[in-house]
Amino acid sequence: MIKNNYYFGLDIGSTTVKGVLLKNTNGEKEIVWKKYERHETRQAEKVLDYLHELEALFPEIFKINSTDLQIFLTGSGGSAIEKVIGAKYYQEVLCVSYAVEKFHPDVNSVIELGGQDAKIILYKDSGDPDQKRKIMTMNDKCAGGTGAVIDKISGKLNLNSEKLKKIQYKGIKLHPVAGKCGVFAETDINGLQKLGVPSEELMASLFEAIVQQNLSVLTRGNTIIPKVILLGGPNTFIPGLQDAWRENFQILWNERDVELPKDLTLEELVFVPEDGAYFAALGAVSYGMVDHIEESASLLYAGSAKLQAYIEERKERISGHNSGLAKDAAELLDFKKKYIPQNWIPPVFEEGIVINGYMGLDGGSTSTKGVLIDENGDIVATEYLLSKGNPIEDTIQVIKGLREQIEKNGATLKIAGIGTTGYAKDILKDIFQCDIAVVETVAHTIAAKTYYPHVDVIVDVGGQDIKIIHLKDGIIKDFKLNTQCSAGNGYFLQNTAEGFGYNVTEFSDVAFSATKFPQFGYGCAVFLQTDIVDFQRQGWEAPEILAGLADVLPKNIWQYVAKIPNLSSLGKTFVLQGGTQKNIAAVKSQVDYIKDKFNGENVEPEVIVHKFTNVCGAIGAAFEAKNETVGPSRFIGLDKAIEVKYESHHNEETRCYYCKNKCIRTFIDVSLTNEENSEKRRLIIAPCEKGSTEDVKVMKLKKREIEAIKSLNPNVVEEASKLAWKGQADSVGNIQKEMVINRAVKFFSNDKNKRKERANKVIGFPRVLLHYNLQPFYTAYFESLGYQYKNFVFSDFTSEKMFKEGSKRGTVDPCFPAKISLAHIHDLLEKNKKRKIDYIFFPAVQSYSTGLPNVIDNRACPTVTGATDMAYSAFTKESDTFSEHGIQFLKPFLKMDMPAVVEKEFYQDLKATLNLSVDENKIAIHAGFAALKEFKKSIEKRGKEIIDQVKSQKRIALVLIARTYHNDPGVNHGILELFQERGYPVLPMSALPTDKEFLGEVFSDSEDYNMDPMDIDDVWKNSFSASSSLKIWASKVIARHPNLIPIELSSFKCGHDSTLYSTIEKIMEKSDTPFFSFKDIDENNPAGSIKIRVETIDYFLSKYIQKLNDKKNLLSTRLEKIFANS
Amino acid sequence: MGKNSVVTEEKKGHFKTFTTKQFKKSEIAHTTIIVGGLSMAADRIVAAAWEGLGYKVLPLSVPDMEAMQLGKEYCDGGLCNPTYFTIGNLVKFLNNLHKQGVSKKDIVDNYLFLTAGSCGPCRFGMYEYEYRLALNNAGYSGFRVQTFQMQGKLNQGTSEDAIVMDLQFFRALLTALIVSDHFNNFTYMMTPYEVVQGSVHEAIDKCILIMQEYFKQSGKDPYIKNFLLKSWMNKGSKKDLRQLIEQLRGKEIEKYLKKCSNILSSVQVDYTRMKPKVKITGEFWAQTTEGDGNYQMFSFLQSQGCEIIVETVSAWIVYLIWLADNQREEVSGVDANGLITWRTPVKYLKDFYNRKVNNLIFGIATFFFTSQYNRYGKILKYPAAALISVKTLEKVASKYMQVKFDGGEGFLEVAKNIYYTTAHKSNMVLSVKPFGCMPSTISDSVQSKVVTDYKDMVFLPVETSGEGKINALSRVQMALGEAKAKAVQEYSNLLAKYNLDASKVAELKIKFDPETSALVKIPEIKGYRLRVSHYIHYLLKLAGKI
Repeated sequence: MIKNNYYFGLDIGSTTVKGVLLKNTNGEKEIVWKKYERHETRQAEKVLDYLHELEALFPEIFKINSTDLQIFLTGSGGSAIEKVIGAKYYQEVLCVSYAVEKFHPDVNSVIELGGQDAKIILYKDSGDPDQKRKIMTMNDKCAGGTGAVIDKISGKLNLNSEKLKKIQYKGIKLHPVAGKCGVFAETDINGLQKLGVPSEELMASLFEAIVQQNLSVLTRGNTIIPKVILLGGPNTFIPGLQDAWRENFQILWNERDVELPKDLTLEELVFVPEDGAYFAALGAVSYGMVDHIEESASLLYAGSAKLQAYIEERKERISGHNSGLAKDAAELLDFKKKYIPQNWIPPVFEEGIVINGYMGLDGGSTSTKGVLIDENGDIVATEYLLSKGNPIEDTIQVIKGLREQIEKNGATLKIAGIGTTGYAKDILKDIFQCDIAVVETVAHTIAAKTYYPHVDVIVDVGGQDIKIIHLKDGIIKDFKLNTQCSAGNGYFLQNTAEGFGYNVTEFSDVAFSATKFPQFGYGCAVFLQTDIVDFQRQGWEAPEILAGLADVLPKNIWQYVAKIPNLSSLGKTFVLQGGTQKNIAAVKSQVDYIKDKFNGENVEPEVIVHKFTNVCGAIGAAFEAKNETVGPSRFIGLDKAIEVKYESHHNEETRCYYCKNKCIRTFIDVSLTNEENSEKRRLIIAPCEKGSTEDVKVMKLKKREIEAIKSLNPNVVEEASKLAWKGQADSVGNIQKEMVINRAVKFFSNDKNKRKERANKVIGFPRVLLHYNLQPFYTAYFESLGYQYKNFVFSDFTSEKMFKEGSKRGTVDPCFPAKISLAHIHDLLEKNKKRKIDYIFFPAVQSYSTGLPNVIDNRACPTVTGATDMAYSAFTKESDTFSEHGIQFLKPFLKMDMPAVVEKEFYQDLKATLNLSVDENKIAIHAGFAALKEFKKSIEKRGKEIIDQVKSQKRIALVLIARTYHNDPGVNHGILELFQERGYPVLPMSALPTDKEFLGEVFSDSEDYNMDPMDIDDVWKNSFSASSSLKIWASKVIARHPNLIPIELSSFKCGHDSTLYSTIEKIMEKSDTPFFSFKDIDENNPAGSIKIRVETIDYFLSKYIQKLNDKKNLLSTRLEKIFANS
Repeated sequence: MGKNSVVTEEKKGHFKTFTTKQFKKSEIAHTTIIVGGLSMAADRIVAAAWEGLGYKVLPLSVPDMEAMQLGKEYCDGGLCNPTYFTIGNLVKFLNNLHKQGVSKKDIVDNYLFLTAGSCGPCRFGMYEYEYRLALNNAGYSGFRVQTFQMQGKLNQGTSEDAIVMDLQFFRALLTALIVSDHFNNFTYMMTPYEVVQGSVHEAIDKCILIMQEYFKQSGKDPYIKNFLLKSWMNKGSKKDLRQLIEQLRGKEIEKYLKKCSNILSSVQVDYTRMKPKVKITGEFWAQTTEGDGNYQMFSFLQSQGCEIIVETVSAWIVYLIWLADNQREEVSGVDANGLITWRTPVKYLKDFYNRKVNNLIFGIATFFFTSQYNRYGKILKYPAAALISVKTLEKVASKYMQVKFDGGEGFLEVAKNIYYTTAHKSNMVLSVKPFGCMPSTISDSVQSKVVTDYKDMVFLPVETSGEGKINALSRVQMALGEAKAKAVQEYSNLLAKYNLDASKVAELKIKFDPETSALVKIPEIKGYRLRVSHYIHYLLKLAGKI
């Protein structure tokens, strides 16, 4: 007979297993046993431990076919073993909701953070007073904004759980950290850490980021209503995170006028219950007890032995790659013999010998490396140190180590020159007064070419970055860097190995021991992490997982980062270098991959592991120092370098007030010895040049210098982004005059009152998306109708602050340019508080004209068109925010490429609201198009001036190939300004002249003769998207003009751009035009990786310009002839 | 280094996009046309339909994870997963051919891929290029990919083209799609209730073979006596007219469909099973595919005890007709390049007349297609649901979304969610869409407001990316929990209302309807969503209790 006096709830999560045994006494349930433990990715094994313990503690209850026990499971590992142990599985959010409803029925919102899940449950009015409506949301596959990110970062910052509990949030300085993605967060934290930001600030910033991420996406635009219960491990155990929720809720409730119960404190309104970590397990029991499904009543405990057997046998059930990384021991031995670089034995120098050495220092993201070469270019010492978090400290140790190696037997080291490279190259150069700072890409190329002059491809896999450098005849032809996303790179491999309890040096032996392995999907490291958990759940063991990760590395390199399917097109000699290539298992899979890609070709690839693979950057820096140091080195000297003391400050006191951005800078106070009166210097690390001094006079001087550089190198992208918002009185006046006279329409006299009324109305325009190219039309349209430009209110340019404050109503997670629409509408609503806005104008633009012939369509991207509906829904979801503010939201649907249709659409959609007449609408439309034409004309004029200038000066201008909204400084992250400051004028695509004269010259090649220079049909057949077509056309122009170089920007999730990647690349490649792109840019601003790219590009461009100037016979080339005629 | 490094030589040469040779009439005999990308039934039947036109046609199998990985390897980065799955599936097929010993040259010369094209505006419009790029990257440079536009006019292509995209071509395609829609409907409607496990699939498999047989011979000119045709008509028009008449009369297809109906009638079902209904919506491909492309969602939902309502390709075709009509309407009477000019009364009347004529043409097209769909359903005699009119859907969605928004599914996702909830057609609406799908992202943002307004709605959007299956399915289970609770409530209330319990219902069934054929039409009772609820009413009526 079933008695069911005991209920066992188990929550088998991604990182922990929570178990709770309840005893039922007269309907009351009492917890008689509970446990919360990390399972270290061995879910089933941990459950088995629990069952063993329970069988020992409660032998009468936990016996096979016990009639006194029912087991209910939940969590990501629950469903796999429900039948094995005789339990019933329920989904975890449902379980949590049941527990909350049972134990805390007065709760309106639930926030649960798990290892890889984030869940929000909201209880809303259902219309039925007896029943609340439940809205449940859960993160998608991405574990951004969850406990996994906290785990990863706290591990990186060496904060154990005890230290983590002590991290405060209140009153702690917060820094911008992306919470959206664990990898992005890590990139931001890395950068901040290198600026000396203390761990507690980093962690508090991460708490903030996690809260923001969940509020902006996971709430799906719903307001979190108190009381709020915080559940799950991170929420339960980290008080700082609890405070972050509380503080953000308070701001939100103030903003949205949420009425709060007066008798409760904030801690009571947002609370962590007792047993908060066990709620899912408790809920599983609650749900199980009410579940109607009959089988739950008949489920009987199967005993731990069955689970034990399941664990032992599951290996046979799983499928994967059916052999190890090597086919057999013989192949492995052969491989190792060939590919493990021979141990380098450092030379020993006896007393009295003086070594005049050149030192190379590589301050990388996860390690610091040093190399010494002698005057002959022979390596005499190397040093490799895993980063302890501070690059200065690490470098001192490396210098010490190098010196020690030379001087240990009494020889003397003298530094003749010293070069730096890596993330920290500039700081190191300044502190130690080194002679040269070398761009990483260049340093790695030097290292490869020095030892393997016939190299075609360099594959550098470092801690954070993957670089692929393609050389042709010994000259760099192209390079690929991973974007901010670190796809299964060295640091990830190291981390995973350490997670399994192996030192990184043991990785390859462990991985080679696997005789089969799971196959990972390549790509994002976060997803790889999810896969690891899943594979372990299936029964794969650590060696097999590590083998699988080694196997996926070449796919990440070639398919994810480089996107090069045909490796043989690059050449045949591949040099593998970077710290990760020390891992011979990773090398094996790369060699196999490369060889496989040559299968069927008549060429055999030669794959070489660099003999100094882990210090290549430093080697390059040392050689460059040797080549470039003229006269004595600037170096402060070994004694001083080793004694360097420094203090780092990054706080309110370091804030810069030289412009409205008011950035916080990092001050590093360096003293060269311990003595009181030692030389002291202050290094200032600032986001821009202006901020790199404390002295206002110096700052002004610098500012003047910058202005001078800027005026010589105009940034027309910036100019266009400002010009779009100007008044259009001239266009309006001309059109009105023309049309009134021509058509004798006396519209002014029609209704003076109407126009008078309009003159006082205030219109808000969000500064987003297509407004960047269509706003002149809108401005002229409304001005023509009698609305006054002075009454037009524009939202601010996008900024981090605006995004953070205004995007909390987010319901979905689209591309960043679309997502910020909400923040701009929010900004207008804020402005409305100071100045009453009558209308917000945010049309849904479906198409717009490009001026290109023979295109199939002129579509805007669907996300851009739909952003209007997205924003409108978000602000009218719970209540109509616009009407509450007395604002009318105008959202006509527009086909801007068809004037007559636009006229109809404006009239139909706005006639009632604006009291339009047919005539005035028609004239206003005319005025709009005239303004648009003028706008385009003036930008083209600027473009023409600059192109003429750079041509005559034999310089280059960069052309931004991007969608118009990339003109927004908040979307382009100021990348273009970085180029401008380095001496390159920057043009938007719209500045490329379209006049016959210019195009005739550019397209005068014989193969272009029969083609309209505006036509793109020869390179792009699927011309549906307006912006895509324009990008292609601009690419064609740039590819034919020697003084124009493209910089492509593309936002993460941009569907239209993704289909253009290869075509634009091919256009540039075929014409041998250097091509640079920043892909997947998103809401975070990874300054470190942007900097490396900008520097590398600058280096490439300097060589290109050199060639433009050097090559005397350029005069005889086709292009020169063209320009001579112009 | 440094001093010798020069980045590039002067700019030279210019890129031209991929071109492939024409598929000529003379090549028909030795060329195999590969098709794929729809449901399993649709791919098989469409292949047979085009075989009936004289081509060698081969349907691809359902794309799996291996296909996706190949797609990712050879296409551009950042695309949506239908691209990776479908393109990778073609590459996988060709690779297998190559492994079997067919040379790459022979593959390029003797095979061709035929697929529906699109006029944008999402990534889908650029698929054709991605096919060419991937095939080129995979070593099949010059492999032919031919597209046809579902929204295009008849007679796409030139007279040299082997594939003549005329009325015959589209008639074969559309008829095949309608038939496969019905087969899919039947499969997913009946499987949860089949008495003998596997009987539904077995029956449908037989039906597919029968219809393949029909299509393979139906491409020939239908037998319509010449006296029906006016002598002034040219040969092509006569042929077209014959096709139309045959389509309307449809005696031949009726014969075959009846054979299918007989087979389906033998399937026994038990509607006393309580199965929450889940309507599948979402992006066209993700909601259609039956494999890894949507985490095998259909079989997963069935394993969770649900009945699923799949989407038909026919509904999509009706939407395309509506869209074309609306887009025409929008530009009618205006000169697209200039502003609206004053119209004389004559011009005004002429425009008005043209507009009405066009409306009529599109109206006839919709009627014609819908009536064919309904007719086949009637011949098959199974309880087919009628196609929902786009006007009905437009009406419910217009409050939330610009119905002119036409990327991807446009307003359909929003509309179906509201419709299936308010018309009591399902307990839950599950929208499956590829990760980063642009139009679906917009409808999801709007759905958030819709869900707030419709308080009894259970709606879940799921992004499919190939990876992350566990999380996605877990989220589905989360929403299903709510849907199941609502279903249980309906079921329990109904039992309570008539003082029944499960065993009493079973008794009623044994007594009054011991053997239920899948073709029996159970009347739907207003206000009830579950099939079991309708069935209990049916039983009670048989028992004379209501």
